[in-house]
Amino acid sequence: MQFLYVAIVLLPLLVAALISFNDPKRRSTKISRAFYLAVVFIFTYVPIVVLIIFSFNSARSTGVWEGFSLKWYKELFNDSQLMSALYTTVVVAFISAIVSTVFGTFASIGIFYMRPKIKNAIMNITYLPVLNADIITGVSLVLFFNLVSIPLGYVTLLLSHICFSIPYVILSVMPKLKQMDNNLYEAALDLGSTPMTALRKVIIPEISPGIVSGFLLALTMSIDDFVISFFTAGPVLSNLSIEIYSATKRGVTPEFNAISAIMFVVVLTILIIINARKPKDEKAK
Amino acid sequence: MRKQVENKPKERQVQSAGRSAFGYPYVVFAIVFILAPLFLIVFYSITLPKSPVSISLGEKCTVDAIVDKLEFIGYTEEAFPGNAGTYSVTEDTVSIVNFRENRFECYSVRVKDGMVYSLTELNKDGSVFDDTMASVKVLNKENGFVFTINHFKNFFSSTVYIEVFLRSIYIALISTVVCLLIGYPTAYILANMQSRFRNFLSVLFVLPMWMNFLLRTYAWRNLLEKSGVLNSFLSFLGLPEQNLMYTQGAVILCMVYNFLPFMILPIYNTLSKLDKSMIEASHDLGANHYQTLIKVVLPNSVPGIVSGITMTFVPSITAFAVSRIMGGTESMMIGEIIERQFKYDPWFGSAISVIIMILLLISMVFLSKYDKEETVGGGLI
Repeated sequence: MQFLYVAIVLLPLLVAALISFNDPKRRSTKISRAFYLAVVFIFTYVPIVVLIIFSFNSARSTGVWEGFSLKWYKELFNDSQLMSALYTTVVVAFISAIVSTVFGTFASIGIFYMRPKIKNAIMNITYLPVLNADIITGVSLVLFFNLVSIPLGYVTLLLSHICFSIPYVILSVMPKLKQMDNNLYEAALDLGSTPMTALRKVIIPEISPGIVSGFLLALTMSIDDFVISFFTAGPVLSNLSIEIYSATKRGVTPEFNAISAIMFVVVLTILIIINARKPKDEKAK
Repeated sequence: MRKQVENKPKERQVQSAGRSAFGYPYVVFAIVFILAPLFLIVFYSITLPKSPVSISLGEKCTVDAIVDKLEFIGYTEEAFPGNAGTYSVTEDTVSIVNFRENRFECYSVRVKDGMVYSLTELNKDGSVFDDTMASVKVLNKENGFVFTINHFKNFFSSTVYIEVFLRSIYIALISTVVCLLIGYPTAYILANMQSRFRNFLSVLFVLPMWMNFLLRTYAWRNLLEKSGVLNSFLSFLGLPEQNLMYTQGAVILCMVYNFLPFMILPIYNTLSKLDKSMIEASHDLGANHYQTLIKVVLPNSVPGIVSGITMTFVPSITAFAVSRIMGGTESMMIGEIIERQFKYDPWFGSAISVIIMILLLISMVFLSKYDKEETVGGGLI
């Protein structure tokens, strides 16, 4: 029976996908493309929309609608445990994003001017946390913290978040450094500026789009992370992901719908701001 | 004149050497926080620590096994009552003199029917001091560790672990393939759109990527639960309710949902950078749209596909939250085993992690043959 449902859903999708690759001027292609995108769009957004709708449900149930209420939002703000988890998430995200952006930007400038062999070696090390499985990064960091006897808690959580964010900052700043015209820096030096001023006035503005996207990436990576936090936060501290994880085991309340709705709206706003910013950058170029 | 020309490159090198100093703190950081933990995990996986031996009442064991454990932590055989750190064996009893500096502590362990039958503390003359003990802890005489490959042997000789390991690979593979099948056409359609909303639409399709991973998983739980939305909808249509939660299907569905944006994005990036004149050339040479797709578009989008596969396969093989939240006991994955093992046997947990690392390394080497572009991580915004 379940296979039948799956087949009913997937078969038209497959046909639509096949037609989509045909001549874009044909009407059938246009229709099937629109249909395909619509289906994937619905698949992507239905869970989120349902989550948001049921955050306004007055009943405890997550499947039956019983009327509009803001009860769960109220309860969310009164739930000290959840609020402190949210606070931890936000604070750790911002501190780790700021630290790793500053540190990572200087690191990429440094790495960029190193000798090619050393540069390659360091970039390969930088790729490791990006490519490695989160769980392995997490447990290896815990082993390391135990070895150097740093008790698990805020410090280790922050350190581990900085640790997995920096590579993303470096990977988004590096391409901008490669694109940069190296003569600009030399010109600044020839015109009498000190290396530090040249760095501040020439290099940093040139690579700033990379720095901004690195920062945003670090921020979202930190908010999104569960696995590494789960290991490095220790037994007492918990962030939002850990809180949701432990709640799903003991049964969740619609408070979590409320917090998801808030987070979704925040993320949507940030992304709209970023996209409104982007065309300006392109025009400036 | 000539001298000046010769001097210039040298000067430049000095300057760039100055700038490369910005990278030194990071080099230290990377060695300490990236390389050292990984070496540590490899080290843990091939060592066995000399940790205190605990013996509890009712535990399954034999006299020989106890003696082996004791000799491992440096105990030697000596007639009762020996010095600290010795043991003596009679037929079914092991008397252990615990390794304590300033007081005599002797346990007598009696084994019967393959389990610890009685556990008593003895005085120096052999009389019973305390017979109400449930477990004892025998301290190390020697500290340190030994190198061993037993952790790996244990892993590969256990059918349970192998089954879970293969299942993880299976679930990750299925999820990756489904992601690719859904993601490629989506990325293709998005990249070939003529609308000025193209950028905005493609952002919409990868937007869920920026939401918390567990919130996304939790959202599906809302839909699939017994009293959830989907079942309400089915019963509204008059169809029978389905048991959707705690199945392998639910795990795969949730994985596909979670990792689909990570598949769409890199493919979209490579497809939108694709040189349009190549496609036109293919049409001019008489190929139809499907032939162009297979002969031109697909081979040129391989780097995007490869980084999409990497970004989907790697996290899905070790994801333990999804299978824990959405799956039942029959869909347990390797990540859960690592997580559980790490609580009480980090050495074995490390060994499993190393096995996964080797698996990832192999797949990475295999995939990197096709990937000539650095697409991972780049252009995420």
